[in-house]
Amino acid sequence: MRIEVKNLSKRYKDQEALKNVSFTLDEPKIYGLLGRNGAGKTTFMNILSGQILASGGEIVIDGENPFDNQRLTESICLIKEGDNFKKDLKVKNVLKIYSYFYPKWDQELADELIKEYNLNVNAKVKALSKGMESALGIIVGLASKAPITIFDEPYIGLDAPSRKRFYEILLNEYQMEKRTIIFSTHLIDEVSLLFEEVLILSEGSLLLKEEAEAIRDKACAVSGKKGEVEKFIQDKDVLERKQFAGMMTAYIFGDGEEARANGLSVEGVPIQELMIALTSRKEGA
Amino acid sequence: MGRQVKGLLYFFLTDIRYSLMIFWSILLSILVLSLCIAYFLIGVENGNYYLSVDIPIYVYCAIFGFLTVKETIPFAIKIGATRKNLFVALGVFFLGLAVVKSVISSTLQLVTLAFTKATGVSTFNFLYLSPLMEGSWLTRVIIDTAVMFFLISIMYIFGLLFYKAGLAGGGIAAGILILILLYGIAEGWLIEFFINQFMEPHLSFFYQLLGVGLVLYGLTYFFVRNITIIKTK
Repeated sequence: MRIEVKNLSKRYKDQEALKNVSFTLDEPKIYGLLGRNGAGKTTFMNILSGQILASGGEIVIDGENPFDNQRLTESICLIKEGDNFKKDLKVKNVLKIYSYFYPKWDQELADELIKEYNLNVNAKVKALSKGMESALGIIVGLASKAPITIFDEPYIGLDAPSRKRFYEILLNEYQMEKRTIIFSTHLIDEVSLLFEEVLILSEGSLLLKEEAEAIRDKACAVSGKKGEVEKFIQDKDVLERKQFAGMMTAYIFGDGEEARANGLSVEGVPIQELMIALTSRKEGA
Repeated sequence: MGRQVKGLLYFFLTDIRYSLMIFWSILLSILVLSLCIAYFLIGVENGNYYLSVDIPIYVYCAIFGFLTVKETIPFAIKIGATRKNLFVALGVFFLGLAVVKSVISSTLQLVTLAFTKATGVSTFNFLYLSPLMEGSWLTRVIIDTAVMFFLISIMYIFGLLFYKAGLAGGGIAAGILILILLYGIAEGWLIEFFINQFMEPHLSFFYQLLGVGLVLYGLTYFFVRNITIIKTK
């Protein structure tokens, strides 16, 4: 499904959550939607899923507006970090309700994941721990098989092994049947290898939209003795510098070959570091 | 019926089950306690015990109509329900709830009165909103359904006003209604209207009340068609 975002704006009283954001998501991929708190990620996802209205601009999916459009609402599943389900419902009720709303619902997968995450189907949502409630969200998101599946910090309280298993299942499901997965998280380093394309929002504006591979090639971390690194980065676009005991690491935009030729050590920049550097730079501007 | 409407009805049913169980458990306990008290009043001169089953049910319906907006609508939207399906499903559910509650209430009163007659507990009486309700089982069901659906609809509208226009908007609407009611009471026509309708009743009034409830519910579509998950504060 093709998602076109055209001059999208959203204002909450005095606060502008999104400012004329425009971009297109052309094909089914795993997209990383990154940004600091208050960058506008959740607002964007709420508009995309038709849960709120934009103040200006529009989102068009395959040529149609998702707001109150049944063909699209049953193609979009948004799982947030909390408050996804009514607390008095039992796990089995939640699964059954969602099965009515998603025509491609995979009950077999839901049952498998229930076992995987050791959930009691007769337990009420309010009786679940934070991590178990997150696991239920993950199960619903994956079993919905919605062509556009959106995870907004879906694993609050979920332990590291369960998160790792989630990434594995997500990737497996994605490989079996490609769909657009939009993943918003603050645990960027954990999932950055899953991302095929990265979007970074900052203060309501789109800061970057790039293929993950291109981002990795675009910037590099140059390390060495302080004097040598400083000399090398003089005419470079530097994102950030770190110094320790006479040594220096600088994140720069550009190819690492020249640095290597100058005897400096070159590594990739973790996407998390890149996001921090880019958003800090924008805020400082 | 569309999948979404079926899903919404399943959602509403599973969601309300717990509160209904608590409500009916309390009401049945009060009924049993009342029968016990009425039994002890048999020997007392002019001893009579009156219990209203309808009033608590009406209060429950009114509160339910109001709370549905903030407790149910945001979750229904999050699941992916469209506003049109939500409007249809809630209408069916409200009417269904009113009918089922009326049938249960009327049957309960029928069985209780048969029991008191058989056991000679003549001191026990039900208190009715209208003398018509002392009539047949069906008349009670019709009257209760009309009153309950009307209460659910009107309180649902208030819930929507508070949800969409915030405390200020909802408060203004509630304030205007209270002013009209106070004016009607002061002028006397409101009290006269109710006395006429409930003391010298005609069943047609309750059919009209059901009709008004349906029209009021129909008007809610204009509130629901653009509703979002964000409540105005």
